[in-house]
Amino acid sequence: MHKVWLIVHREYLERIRSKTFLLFTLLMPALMAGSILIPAKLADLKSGPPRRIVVVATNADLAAAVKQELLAPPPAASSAGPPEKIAPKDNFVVQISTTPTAELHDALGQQVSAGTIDGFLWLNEDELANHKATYSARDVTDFQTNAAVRWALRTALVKQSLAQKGMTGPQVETLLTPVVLRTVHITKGHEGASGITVFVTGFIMVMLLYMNVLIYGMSVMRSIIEEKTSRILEVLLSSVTAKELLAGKILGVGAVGLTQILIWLVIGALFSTPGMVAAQAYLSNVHIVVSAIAWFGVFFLLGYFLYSTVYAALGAMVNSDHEAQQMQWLVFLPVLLSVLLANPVMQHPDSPMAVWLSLVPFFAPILMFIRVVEEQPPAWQLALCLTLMLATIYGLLALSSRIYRVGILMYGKRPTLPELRRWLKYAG
Amino acid sequence: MANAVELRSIHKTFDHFTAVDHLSLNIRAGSVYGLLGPNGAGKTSSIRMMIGIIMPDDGEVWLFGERFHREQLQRVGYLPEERGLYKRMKVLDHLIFLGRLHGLPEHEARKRSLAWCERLLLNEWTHKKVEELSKGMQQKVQFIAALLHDPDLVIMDEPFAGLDPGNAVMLKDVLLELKKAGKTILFSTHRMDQVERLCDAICLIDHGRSILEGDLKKVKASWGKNHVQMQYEGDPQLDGNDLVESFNNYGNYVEIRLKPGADAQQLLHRAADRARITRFELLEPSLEEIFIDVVGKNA
Repeated sequence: MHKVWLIVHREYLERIRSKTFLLFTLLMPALMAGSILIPAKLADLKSGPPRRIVVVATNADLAAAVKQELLAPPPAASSAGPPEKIAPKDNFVVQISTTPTAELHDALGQQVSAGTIDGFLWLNEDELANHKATYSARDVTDFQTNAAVRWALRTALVKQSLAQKGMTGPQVETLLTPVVLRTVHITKGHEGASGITVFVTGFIMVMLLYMNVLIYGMSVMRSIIEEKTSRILEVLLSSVTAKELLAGKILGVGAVGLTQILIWLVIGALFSTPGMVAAQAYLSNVHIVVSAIAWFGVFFLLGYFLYSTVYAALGAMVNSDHEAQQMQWLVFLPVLLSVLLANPVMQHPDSPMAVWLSLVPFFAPILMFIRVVEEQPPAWQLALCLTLMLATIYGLLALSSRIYRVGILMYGKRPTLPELRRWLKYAG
Repeated sequence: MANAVELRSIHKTFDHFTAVDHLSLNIRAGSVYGLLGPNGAGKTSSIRMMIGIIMPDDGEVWLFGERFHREQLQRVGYLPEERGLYKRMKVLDHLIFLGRLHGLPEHEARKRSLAWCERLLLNEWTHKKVEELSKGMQQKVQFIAALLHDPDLVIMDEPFAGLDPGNAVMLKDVLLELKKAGKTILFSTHRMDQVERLCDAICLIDHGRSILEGDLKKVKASWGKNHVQMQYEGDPQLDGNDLVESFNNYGNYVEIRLKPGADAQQLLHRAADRARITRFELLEPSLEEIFIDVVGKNA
């Protein structure tokens, strides 16, 4: 045990001290924060200068109604409906023209080119009859404005049509008020975070889990290849067994991964408050569920052990990074598959498909983790999942350490499958 | 004195290839032992089995008078043929790490590392990364790593291969010093000149089998004095002589290898009949000749 500890110690210190570790540890939260904050900031910037729009229609009432809808805060602004996000208040300066002549069209076109207005909405009676209208603008890819204009026009048309059918203004307003659907996450009978919170927490954690399992699994493989190419293995083998070496390496690298995650958690906790305030409008109040963090640790460790043993065997079989890359898909495939399956599982975490898939040890680190965050799966499923994972890890470890024992002393050609079978025999 | 190493009929096959074929040998404690053989003869596999890197399919390994167990490895220093270091580690950290793996406490490992570095003129490099060292300096670090824990048995696989001349002399001096201190040294090589100068005993292996084993002097003596160096004037007519296996004419003198069982005196008589012999000397064969002879016969 003492020797395993020495190897863990070396692996850990050498990695923690490296510049790569420092860089990655600091860059990752910056990247994460950036990917949340920058779009939020960008959206803020966009909503800054108001859009100057001219509404052209022969029907002055309709034009006025569209203007009103564009200027008015959309109904029930507190709801989570689409208009809230699309059209922030006071974002339009609207002029009305009731003389749709060809000259005006050209003149407006020139104004748009010159930048004195941002666009104009041309309401032709014939087109309207077919539920069509034309919005001309310099920037037609500004989907927010497009959507706001479409929303305003539609609302105006609906209101007009309802008024024509004899409804009063307040009646129309009541009718058009959207339904507010509040999503509440229930775990063990307690009401918890809102749906969006669960989704975002789950999503970020799954990405982190996926990246960390792969990154640290790969770094186990890399360091085995490095030891092979630097020819230090045989020196080490004169005092430790291959098993001790493998165990020390996997534990040491895993400890580095845990350290990194802990640092990220601390950084996250320190910076989340201002960050969340800035991002609040877009994410509502994200707060990380404590039990989710604990499960994250469990599934990171189990997932890491599972994949790193496979990576270790791979590393022992090949002679260079280049050769390893050709075989990496073997490990990459199940991870990729579980990320692809993450979405359906997230939507129906208790469907039979989700339950069975999440019990498969190679998928469990991601899929079972999603289910744990989304809904509390029955205890027996969790117990079965963990047991299956531990058993798989144990089996793989036995297999890998045999391949490792023979492979690390073999230089030269990559083994074929029958050769691999014989390796397992020698090591026995 | 007891044997430091005893191999009792160890056997190892890889697939259908027999690497070591029921090999037995004894290495006396305190001696310098040479394991000889052509490339692929099974030297490295035998050494690996001696220290438990691979397990023999059959047979037993005994170290220091006990059946092999891993705790004994703390008394063994090993310098493999394929040797390397962690490139990005600092020299001193690296030596301490390897010393601790061999059971030294940290402070002791540090003290000894510094002493060795001082002795081998590496003291200015202890805080440099291994990759910043020249190849010759890295070789020195590797020797230190093998000797740091003051092992009773030092095993070196082709230690002189790839050494620069300065380091080769240094290694030889260190080995002689270890011998004086009563350590047992085993090294494998295919360079006979080093063996003749350093070894007390040898084992010559080929195709995984021991062909010749024992005390170097006895081995040479048992091979018999079947070489003759002769100086002459005239023509002794060695061509077609039924006593001569082969000969090599160097101009001033000729080196003759006799046929097995041939009598040197008879050759002298015959040669003296035809030419004027000025010098006639019987020689011990060089180890190289024995080596080529034995391996040639086995091939």
